[in-house]
Amino acid sequence: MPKDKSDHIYGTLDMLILKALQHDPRHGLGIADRIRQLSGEILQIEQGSLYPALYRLEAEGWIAAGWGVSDNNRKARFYRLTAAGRRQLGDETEHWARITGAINLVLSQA
Amino acid sequence: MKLFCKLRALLRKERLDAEMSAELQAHIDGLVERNLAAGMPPEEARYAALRAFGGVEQIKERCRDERRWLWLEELWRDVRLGLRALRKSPGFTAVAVLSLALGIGANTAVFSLVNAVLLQTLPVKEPHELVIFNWLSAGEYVGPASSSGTQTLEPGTRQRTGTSFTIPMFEAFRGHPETLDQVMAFAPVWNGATVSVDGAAEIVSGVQVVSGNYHLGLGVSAVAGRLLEPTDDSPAAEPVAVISYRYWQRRFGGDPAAIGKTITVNGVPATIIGVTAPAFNGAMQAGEVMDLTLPLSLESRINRSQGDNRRANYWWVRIMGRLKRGVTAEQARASLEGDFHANARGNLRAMALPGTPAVDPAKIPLPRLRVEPGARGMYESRRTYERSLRLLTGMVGLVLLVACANVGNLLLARGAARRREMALRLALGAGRGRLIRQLLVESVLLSALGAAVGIVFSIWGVQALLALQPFGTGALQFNTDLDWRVLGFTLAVALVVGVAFGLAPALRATRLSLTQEFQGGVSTLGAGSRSALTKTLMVVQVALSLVLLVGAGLFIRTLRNLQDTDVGFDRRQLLLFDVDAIANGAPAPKARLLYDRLRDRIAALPGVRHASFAHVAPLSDSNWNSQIIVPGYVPTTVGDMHVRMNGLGPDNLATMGIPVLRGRDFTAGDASDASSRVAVVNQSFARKYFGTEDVVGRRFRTSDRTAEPDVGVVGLVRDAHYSDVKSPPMPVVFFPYAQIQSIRAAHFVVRFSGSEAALMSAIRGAVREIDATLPVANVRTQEQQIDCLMTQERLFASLCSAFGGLALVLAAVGLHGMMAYAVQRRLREIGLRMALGALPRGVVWMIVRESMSLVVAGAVIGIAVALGVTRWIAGMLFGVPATDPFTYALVVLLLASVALAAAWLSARRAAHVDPLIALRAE
Repeated sequence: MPKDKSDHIYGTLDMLILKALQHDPRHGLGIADRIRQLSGEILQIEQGSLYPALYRLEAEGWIAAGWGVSDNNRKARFYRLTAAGRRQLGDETEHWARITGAINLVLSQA
Repeated sequence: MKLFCKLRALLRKERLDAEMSAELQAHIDGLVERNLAAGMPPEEARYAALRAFGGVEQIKERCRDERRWLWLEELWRDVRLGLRALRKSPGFTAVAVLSLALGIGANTAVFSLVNAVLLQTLPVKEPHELVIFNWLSAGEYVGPASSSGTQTLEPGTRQRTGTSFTIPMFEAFRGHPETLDQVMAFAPVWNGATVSVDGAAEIVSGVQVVSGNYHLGLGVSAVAGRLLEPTDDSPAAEPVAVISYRYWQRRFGGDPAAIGKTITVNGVPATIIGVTAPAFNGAMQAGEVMDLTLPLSLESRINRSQGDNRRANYWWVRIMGRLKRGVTAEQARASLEGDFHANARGNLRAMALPGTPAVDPAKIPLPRLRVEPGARGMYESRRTYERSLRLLTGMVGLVLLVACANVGNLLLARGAARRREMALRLALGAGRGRLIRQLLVESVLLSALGAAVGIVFSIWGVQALLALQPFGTGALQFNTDLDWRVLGFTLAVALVVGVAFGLAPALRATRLSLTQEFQGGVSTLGAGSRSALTKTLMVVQVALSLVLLVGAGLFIRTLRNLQDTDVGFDRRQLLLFDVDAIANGAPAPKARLLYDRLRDRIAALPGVRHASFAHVAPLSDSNWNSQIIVPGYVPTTVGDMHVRMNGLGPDNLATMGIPVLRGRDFTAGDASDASSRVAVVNQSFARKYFGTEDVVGRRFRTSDRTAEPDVGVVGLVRDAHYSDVKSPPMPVVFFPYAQIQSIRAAHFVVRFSGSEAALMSAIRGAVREIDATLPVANVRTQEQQIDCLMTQERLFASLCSAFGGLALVLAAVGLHGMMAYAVQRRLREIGLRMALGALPRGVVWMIVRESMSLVVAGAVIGIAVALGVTRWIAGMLFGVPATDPFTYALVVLLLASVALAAAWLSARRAAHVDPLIALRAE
């Protein structure tokens, strides 16, 4: 099924998750923390959306999961970016830049 | 990856659910910890974390949805769409499903046989713990001193190998509980036994003797009564017998009263104590059913064998062991080899040329002990059957390829017809991958339907295959029920086939230029590149048909040659049957008397011209091969010292119609005078051993025991085939039946006139008159007997013809369809040509030329492939080389004429095109 680009919430969250995993594998809580930190404490990810999004991304093959041990020695499920996910992140970033650029252009017109 | 992930999600739902719960819990725990670190009291920290996280169950449900439904729903939609598309074109669907069903059904049938013969394990406890022992001797001419059982030569090294061992070896092997939990011995009773139940005697072919722990060691259960126990296997024990389920049903109608009944086996009374489980047929060669199982201790009485069967130099029992848990086959072998060598030393024989010093038996190099997996029982015949099975597999593989090519072509044509539909869907935004997937789902649906119908075909097919006796004898029984292996195989074939024949057409059908498509279709002048794939598939079909037809031609010619071979006597109006008075309990002198009386009685029957009997039945694939020493002849190999022999009853040569060229036939005097041994030899014998046909009065001897040549040649007969039709006549020496030492069954030959049906019942009556308890076995004409030798050739001739014919029809239909379509597409071009003055004949020629170029390409490729693959069947052919130009030419001619007819039908239509209508058509 072709990905529906107009779906704002899904599309944006997916992109943010991929971005959060760009350099290191993280578990769910770590991803939420990372997004909050990257956004200068502005974006708070709802846990209720985070996990469905993670499972969806895993099913798409963009991220892969495995069990590991977290910093405080707890068992946790870690996600990492796959090669396909890295490509997807690139595509989405570009797409986002185009859209936001266009929107900015619209908004900046007097 | 994506597909795999979702498949996994479907298959392992529970584990993934648990994983998900654990993950979410870990998240909540993390939040709690964080709150605690921030100084919250424990209760409040937990509450706050849960509140922050939200409804756990709702989240879980949403997660599940993400993983599961996406994929399944899409697939389901594709399946529904596919089914609808197939329903819309029932003609196409029917032809495609039928083609595939034939291809898949043929493969499933052959695989059922492969499964039954090569893959199925014995229905016993833990079959993979079982091992079978064999030995590998130091060379071709080194082996057991005296033995019973199959021996073969290892390919390559030509070392002798066999599975027979001595009783002392068996007993030594039992003394190794550190590696083997159980050691069982068993041996077949050759040619079966005469079994008499309530006074009615018949010959049962599957009879074996086994050690007392046989059933226990294998772990077989009884459906009635009890099975053998170690105490049953002792000379002092009451004689007992265990019967197979099959025999119980056939002979006793499954009556529980059979248990406790006393029967006689070769005259020895034994009490039936139990019936084995229905699936258990013994551990003998594939397909052999052991109907009657008796303890080893009864062997000498049943077989009336010469000498003590426990002696150290008589190798005759097969040995199976059950490995102790954790012990490897190699460890077991290593633990037994010492005992094996100790018992083998001195009990071997090395055949040597005369004149060379005799080898001291103690100095003969010892054989090696080897261990084979025993999960499938004895393996020797399985190895011979493999060749037939491989050939069958290859053949049905070709059929499947033909079916695939055929359906691939149909799909291509269908793809062309659906260009508009595809273009529309692409234009409306469907992804190409999505369309390809949908087309693939359609082709897999086709192959799944084909597989479903194919399984039904295969059930008939495997029965038909077995009826054709793929392994040469009809007595074998195989369990060809559908099991998980067969179904798995069919499923895998269907899936692979569905993707294989569907992929290229799907790629082709979705590679469209939208603009062209909507600008009024592709150019209709000249053949587009689209048809290159179609042409390739066409060529493949022609090539494969040719390969199958060449195979059919070669086998048909082989059959014809076999039927036309002069076997040295008249094979018509000759009736054969066997009686075995020895097995029936008579001592040898009484048996000889009985055979003579029976012969006299039969010779006097109306319609009988001559009657006699022999020690070996003519052309029955059995041999009596023994050593001779001819003064003045220097053998160069051990084989040179062995000739075929036969013992002939009175009037035998006249009955067979083998002319005496010199000297005389045996007389009544030869029979009564046992002191002067006489022989009649054939031409091959005379030429090989005496270098002349003037052999009357020459002498030779048959063993080392007498120093003097003690056999005098009294006659020379014309060469005739001995055991089969394929091998050329070989040296044979005949003795009077009265002068051969050990006798068994008498194989009667009756030369008759008129119909055999009346004669058969007269013969049965005559036997009843002489001895009412004597069963008459194997009543058949000599021609039927010869037919039995040709089952394999007949099997392959019929299958190749059937499949080759089918492939040819498919190819012709495909060619016709393709050309008809090409004509349709080129209507405008043809119209234009005709408008410009082309003659109808020219148009016909154009179309025919195009199809014939495909046929020629297919034929050339097919000939090349056939030349390559028929090498594998060269050994099965007779009187015709695998490269026989006549067969090839004939097949090419057949193929060309069928293809020509198919092409001409399409071309005729092109020639009738009305230029005006054609030009207006688009």
